[in-house]
Amino acid sequence: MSIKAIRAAVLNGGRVTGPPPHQVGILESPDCENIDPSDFRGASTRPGSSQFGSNFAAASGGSSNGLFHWTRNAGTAFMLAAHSGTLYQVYSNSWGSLLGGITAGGMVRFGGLNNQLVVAAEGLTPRISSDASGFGTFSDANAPTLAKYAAVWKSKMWLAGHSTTPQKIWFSASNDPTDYTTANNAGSITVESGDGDVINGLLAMQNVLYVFKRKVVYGIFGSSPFDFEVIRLREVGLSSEYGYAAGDGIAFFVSDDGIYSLSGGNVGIVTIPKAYQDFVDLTDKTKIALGVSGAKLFITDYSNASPYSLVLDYKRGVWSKYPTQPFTPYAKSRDSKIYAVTNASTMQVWQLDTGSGGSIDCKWTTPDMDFEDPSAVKVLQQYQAHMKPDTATTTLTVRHYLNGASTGSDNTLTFGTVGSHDVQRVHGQTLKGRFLRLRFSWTGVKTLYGFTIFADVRQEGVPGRDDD
Amino acid sequence: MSLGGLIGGLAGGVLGIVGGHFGRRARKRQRRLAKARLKHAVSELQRQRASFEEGSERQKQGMIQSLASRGLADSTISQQDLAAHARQRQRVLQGLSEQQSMAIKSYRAFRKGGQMEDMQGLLGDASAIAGAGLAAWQYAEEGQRRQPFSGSANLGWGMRVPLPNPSYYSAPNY
Repeated sequence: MSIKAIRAAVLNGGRVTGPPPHQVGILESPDCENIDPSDFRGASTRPGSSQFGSNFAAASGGSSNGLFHWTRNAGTAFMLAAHSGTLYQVYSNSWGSLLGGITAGGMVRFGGLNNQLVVAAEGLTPRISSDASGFGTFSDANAPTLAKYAAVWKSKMWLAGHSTTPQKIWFSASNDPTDYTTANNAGSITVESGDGDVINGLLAMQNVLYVFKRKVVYGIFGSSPFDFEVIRLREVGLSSEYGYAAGDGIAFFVSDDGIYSLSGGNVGIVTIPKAYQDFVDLTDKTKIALGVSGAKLFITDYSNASPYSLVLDYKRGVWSKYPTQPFTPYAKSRDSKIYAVTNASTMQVWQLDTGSGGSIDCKWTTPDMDFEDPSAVKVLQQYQAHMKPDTATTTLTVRHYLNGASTGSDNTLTFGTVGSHDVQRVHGQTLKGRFLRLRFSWTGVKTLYGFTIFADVRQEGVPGRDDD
Repeated sequence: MSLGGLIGGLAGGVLGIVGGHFGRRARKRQRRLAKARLKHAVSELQRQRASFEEGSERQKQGMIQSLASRGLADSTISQQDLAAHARQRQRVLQGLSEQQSMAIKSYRAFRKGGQMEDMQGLLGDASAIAGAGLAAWQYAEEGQRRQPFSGSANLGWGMRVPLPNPSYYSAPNY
């Protein structure tokens, strides 16, 4: 017998679907779910989520086409959500109708500047309000008559998405979203009118305003009309109108061949290599929603029959997958909380990435382990798992895989309820194959620190050992 | 009258006549020279005007290129910059026209018997105008090469005038 061991001490490498399962690192997982990618101490259950306000209406169905958490200068906050052709304010006990006439399901974007809320909604002249109650239109004749994209940048309101001039962006006078008079440093810029492409998103960062088209991304740099400069950054464009979000000094957007990051004038792809296959598997690249919470980027495949999110800790470069995430538009509040609207049967706003994941089912699958000799036959001997016990009895279910296929048999390990560490083991195994894989699954707030696996490695060509 | 007095008187008269003759010739030559210089100054003004127009057009094309390279070819910023340039160009041309017509007017007046002092003054003005024009163009050309147009109109007369929004500038009176 030649017993070999593989030890994975800290399972903090996250989900990796780019390379095949036998090429994935031992601290990574080819298939983990509901693991918090930000926890570097091990494979921990992700935070939960909590509903904000009340249900819209029973069985209202459909999805939301715009979400905004507006905080006025004085601190008063409003949660605004669009559904079909109407904009609502979400209260604790109801959804109050604010504004109608929006093209049903059309894009609705918002901008809050100097105690004024601007609503850019498809099919509607842009609306302005100081209290999210009474809405008026711009009196300035230079203001756009239609818009569906809005951003606040350099103390100016930027609007785009006019159906007859789809490459044109308007910007207001500083700190006055109602003033579009050229002499007051307001104006407009048409971004490459001859390219046949149209603007489909605006995203403001501190020193750059990103302008997305379907096939190109631009950055507007500068600090005033006197030094504004439009730079064509890269020939990749935004494939989904909900598919962009801003993080801490970095922005992200979805394109046809990957999720890209934007930092200043730099454009990079983040889905290669680790999330390559996960990106390929997204149902429809034109129906992807992005949101950012802290260092986590949420990428939601909302058109999937079972909507889910890929989650990237963009500071660590670690991925995860959260199943059952029926969220479409994301919104980040001034205090950096992330909200989203379900597109399940009843319209609801949820705050994500918050609280405990008490009832969340997690799984962590190991790579296909070849014990450094792919051709040798391995006979599983025993394995052990190292966990941080929960306050309740921790049950860990372990499924065995041989040569990439499930054996269908599970073992259950039970951990204690006190202390910082507990190690439980399973021995007396006889499973045999060239590649061994384990899948650990559990429910509730727990951390799987690591595991160790022992196998008898029988090398081919050695008499009496090749009994594959 | 004594003979001596008579001879002296005659001599003085002859000398006076001769002297007067040479004095008039000198003055005539001076006037001729002055007229030529004045004429030259007027034509120099015309040349400066043509040079200004050509330079101004070059400057405008530079602005257009600069705006295009900033991605602002089709923007209100571009419209504003070009309008400001056109306004300033017009202002300079108007100033040149006024100077030129004043010079021509003075030249005509001088031909009809103006004083040398007037002409000298006029010559000084015309020469200063021509000199200033040249210096201004050198400045403008240099400025054009040195930095792309941004935020203010380079007038070509030694001035950089901000676009019409005072709030961005510390100088309040534009």
